[in-house]
Amino acid sequence: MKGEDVRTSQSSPAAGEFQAAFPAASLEMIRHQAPEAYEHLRHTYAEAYRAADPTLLELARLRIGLIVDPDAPLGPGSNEAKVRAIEDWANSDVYSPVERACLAFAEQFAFYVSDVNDELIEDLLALLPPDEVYGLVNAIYVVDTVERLRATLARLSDGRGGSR
Amino acid sequence: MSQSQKIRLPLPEGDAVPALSGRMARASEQTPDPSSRAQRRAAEYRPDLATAMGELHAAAVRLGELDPQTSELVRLRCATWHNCRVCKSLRHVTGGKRVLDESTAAKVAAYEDSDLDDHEKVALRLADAYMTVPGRIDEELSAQISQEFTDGEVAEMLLDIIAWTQQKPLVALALDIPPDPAALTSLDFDERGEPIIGATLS
Repeated sequence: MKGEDVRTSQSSPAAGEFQAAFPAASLEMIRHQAPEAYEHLRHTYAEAYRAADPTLLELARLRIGLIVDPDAPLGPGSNEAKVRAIEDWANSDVYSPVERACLAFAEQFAFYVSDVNDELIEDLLALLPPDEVYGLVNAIYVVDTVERLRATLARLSDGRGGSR
Repeated sequence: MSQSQKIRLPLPEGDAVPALSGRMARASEQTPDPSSRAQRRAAEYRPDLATAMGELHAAAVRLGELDPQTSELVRLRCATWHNCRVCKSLRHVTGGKRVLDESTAAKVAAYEDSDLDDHEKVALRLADAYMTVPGRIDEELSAQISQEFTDGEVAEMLLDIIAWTQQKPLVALALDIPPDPAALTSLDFDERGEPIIGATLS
């Protein structure tokens, strides 16, 4: 279901190779049951792509998407080489140093955040100023959240067959 | 994780926190502890995102279908799983009374082997699935959730989990500083859903 739905307002040239897509259709149950919170989630998602380099954030989102929902197909990306290599990014030479630092952090953030260590943050700080690191870390939380929510609702929808 | 772990990110310079939004200013008044101060200083790097996340958190807290005991169990499970020092140190207190007694709160860590009821265990299983690999939620868990909770309650639980797991960036940056490293502290929410971190609990 990746690559679907509504585009956010993030459309500046800085958006680079990727664009953010809020998976509105996948989150319909939340919109129906809790419309106010849903609108805050949608707004927070848009803010995340304004708070961080959207190209880095989209790479993180793709990697996290595979971690939280390993069977989901990868959506299209304008840089196909980077999309195709995302699952085995550590052994690929298509990523820049900052992309590698971002992916290393995002992977640990998604697997088990308590094991994020000083080195992962220092690697980011060596390549980005502190405000950008703060923005990226928090923006990664947001895409991590939406990927988890999307995967959860997809499985619950598969298993429920109806609603109460 | 050490209680004295050093914050991993240089914070904005200066003692004064500039340009607090209305929401963040209220939070500042309500939770004047060192942990919240460090978090708010860091938030000034990206105030719009921090405000949006705070408003999302508050909107989740304002939902009222789920019973407070289940919500508190889920909050503590998130705190335990992500090893958030600040969240683990908080206990939801409302009307001067703890939502969960400490012996019940202690059951969260090994809940499958506890005497928590099925309703509570299913909520915690959903939280675990969300925090690990939600794409692996199977038909059995899906059926349990469907049996125990309405769609409204499921939506609220998921939004609660989203709110509680705002701890993840704090943990990553070691900004999860407990208000009192040596004691539990009360947590309540005002009518807007904003957190009130208050008294040390005995």
